[in-house]
Order: sequence, then C-alpha cells, then structure tokens
Amino acid sequence: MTVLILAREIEPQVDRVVEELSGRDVPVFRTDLAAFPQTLVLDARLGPAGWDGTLATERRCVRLRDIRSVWYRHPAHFKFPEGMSRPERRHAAAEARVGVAGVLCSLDVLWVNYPSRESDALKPRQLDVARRCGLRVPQTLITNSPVGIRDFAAVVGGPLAGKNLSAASMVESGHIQTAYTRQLESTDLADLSGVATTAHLFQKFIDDKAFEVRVTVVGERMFAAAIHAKSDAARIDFRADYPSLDYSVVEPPPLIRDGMLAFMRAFDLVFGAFDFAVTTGGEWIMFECNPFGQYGWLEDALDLPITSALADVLQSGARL
Amino acid sequence: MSEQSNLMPTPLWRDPLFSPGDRFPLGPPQGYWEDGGDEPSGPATRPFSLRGVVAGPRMSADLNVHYGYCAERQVALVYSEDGSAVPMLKHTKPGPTPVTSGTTDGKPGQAPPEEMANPDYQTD
Repeated sequence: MTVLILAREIEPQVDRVVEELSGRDVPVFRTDLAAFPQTLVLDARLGPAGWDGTLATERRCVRLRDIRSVWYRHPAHFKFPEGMSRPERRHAAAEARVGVAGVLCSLDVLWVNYPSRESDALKPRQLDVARRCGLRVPQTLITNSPVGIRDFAAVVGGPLAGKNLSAASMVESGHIQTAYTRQLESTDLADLSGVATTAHLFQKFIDDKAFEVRVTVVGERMFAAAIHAKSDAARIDFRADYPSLDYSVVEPPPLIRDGMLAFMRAFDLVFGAFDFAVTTGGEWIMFECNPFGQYGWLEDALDLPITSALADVLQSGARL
Repeated sequence: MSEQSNLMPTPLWRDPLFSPGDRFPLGPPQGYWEDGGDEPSGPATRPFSLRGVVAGPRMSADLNVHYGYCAERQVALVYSEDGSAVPMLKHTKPGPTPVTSGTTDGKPGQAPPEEMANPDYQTD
C-alpha cells in the first residue's frame, strides 16, 4: 500500500516525511499537480468497486486501489502546454480540476487533510466552532464599518488588535509585504480610512499574554510548543521577529486538549496547527488553527517527533 | 442531529459561493510570482488592514535557480556553485529554507509562499 503525497517539489517538510517513510520501506508516490498533464498521467476507470487505474510519472506508477493515504499539502496548479489560448487554458484547467480532483477525492482513504477542509475552516467559522468546542476565543469583530469599530472599542474597553482574515503577505513595489498583527493606536481609531474598502478583523488585544503556544495536532497526538517572545514586535505577533523567540515544551490543560480534539472532529481535520495565547493567569485563548501549518522549525528547536507522527498516520491510513 | 453536525452544521461544499477551486485549492506553479510592480493606491482605497505592512526581501526572477528535485529519492536538492547537489534537508537543517515552500504561515528566514502572496491566483 502506497502513501500518495501531493505537494510541490521544493517543500522541506514533505522531504522529511518522504525520508521517514522511505526509511520504513513504505512506498511513496510524491507528485506535484503541476506535473499534470505533461508528465503525470492519470488513467482511471470506474468499476464495480469504485475508481481504479493508475497515476504514473516516467519513473513511478501507483495503482489507485493501492493508495492507503493521501497527504495533500498545497500542490501547485496544473501546467499546460505552451501555445494554448487563454480560453483553451481555462477550459483545460477546469477539466483537469474536476477530473483529477474528482477521481482522487473519490478514493476512500485517509486524507491529511481533505482538500476542502481549508475552505471549510475559514477564520470566522473557526472562531465560532472553537467557541462551541469549549475553547475561549478573543472578543471579535468583522466589519467594514468605522462606526462599528469605534462601538466595538467602547464595548471591549481596552486595546484592539487588527489581524488579517486570509493572506498575510503580498508582493507590492517589488517586495514581499507582510501584514502582521497590529495593536491599534489611538491615531488608528481617529483615522479609520480604508476600513470601508473590505472586510476587516479586529479582536480584543490580549494585553496580559505571558506567552504563545503552537500546538501541532496529528491525528490524536499533540505537540505543544510554548513560544516566548523577547521583543516588542514578537510579543504582538511572534512571526515578526523569529530571532527573538525562545521555545519550550508545554502541556495543554485537559479541557484545552478536549476542545482541540472536538475542533478537529468538527472540521474533520487530521492535521492542524493551533495558535494560542496563554495569559499571566494561565488562561488559554485560541487565535486560529491552520490546517496546513508549519511545524519544521519547532520540531528542530524542541526535538518534537512530528514528522514521525505524520508518517505513522500516513503509513497506517488511520488517525491514530 | 449528531453532536458532530451540531458543531459544523453546513459544510461549505454545499455553498454555491465556493467554487471547485476553493474546494480543491492549488497554488501557483513553482517559482511563480506576480511581477510585484504595483504601488500602494492611497489612503482612500488602501485597505486598513495593510497599514503597517513590513517590507521583506525584494522579489527576483532567479530565486529558484539553485534548487532542484531528485525524482529517485523524491526530495528537493540544493545545488552548490560547483554544480554538486545535496538533499535540501541536509542543507537546510537547521538553516534557511527556500522561498518556494508551499506553506501557509511562514518560517524563520523564509519568504512567504506564493499562495500567501497570491491568494487569488487561479487560471480557471
């Protein structure tokens, strides 16, 4: 039985899992969907037991029925032959997506994670489901109304944080630009221009935060790393200043563990990277869960066996 | 209604607002970056959420030239100046990682992945 990995070719975390599985003599078929249709060939036939056939490259071939699990880690878009017109390319892309995705998603195997889970787990939904799972989340506002923000600020009675709902980065003026979480200043509230241009997320700023925690959940196993920030920028958003961070292993309280597992079940996630703030009073407040989150740097810093846990899940085809 | 359905009442795949692309998300091709030549618009139209953005490395067309892929081992490679190749894991552990990683929340010493920078990338 084979582990199918759909990911880009340059993806160090995937390399780790490939090496781990190969070391266990578990067959792995790794491909990027950018290889379709030019070097990746799908030949699928519907039979009495469902879809069967093959997925093949020049070097490897896997029978669909032999796939035990799929690790779906943001493969790249199909790449079509040069010379297609734009309408042809759009047509080919739509056909490829429905054909390839339709067949692969029909396979009754474990997915880490099933592709649509990312769109299921939009941040506003996450916050609501987390609340229902017994996890505390910050007071939150999503709006394009400046009046709404001022009202919210009055209700919260403390500082606000501005965060992104989706992508944190973009390319502009020739540079990567990243919008980290910001603590709003009084000058921001005085001038809210730009709020009306799109949806915005604001939350009560956790001003008694002692440290943050990234909990990587793989199946039922949890790997929790406390992230201690030593600079002002990192205390607001740890991604803003990695060199200032220290890490330590931490154990989530039982109620937090239960909440995360309920959250994972609610979204049918096998892998998730949760971010929490832990207050000076020991309260855990969940910010979000990234279904495709990074873990390599914490695995290295704290020697957490996350790659091994992922390999266990993919090898067994069960959540474990 | 089960406990599960109480927690997650309506899967988005039933929602017509979400396209097949949302349900089967694919990133832009390896090495793809928009040209990034656009400049900020102005205070009246620039989203508030972009206040305080931090400029990272300058984008370059040759960011990927030192990386390759070993189809036999199914892992990425890093090429040195003399042309020899080393598996990226051995090269990057614990050093920096390339700019084309398909991740979603960044990593020390790493530029953000394309899907962060190009969330609306679609060819279909």
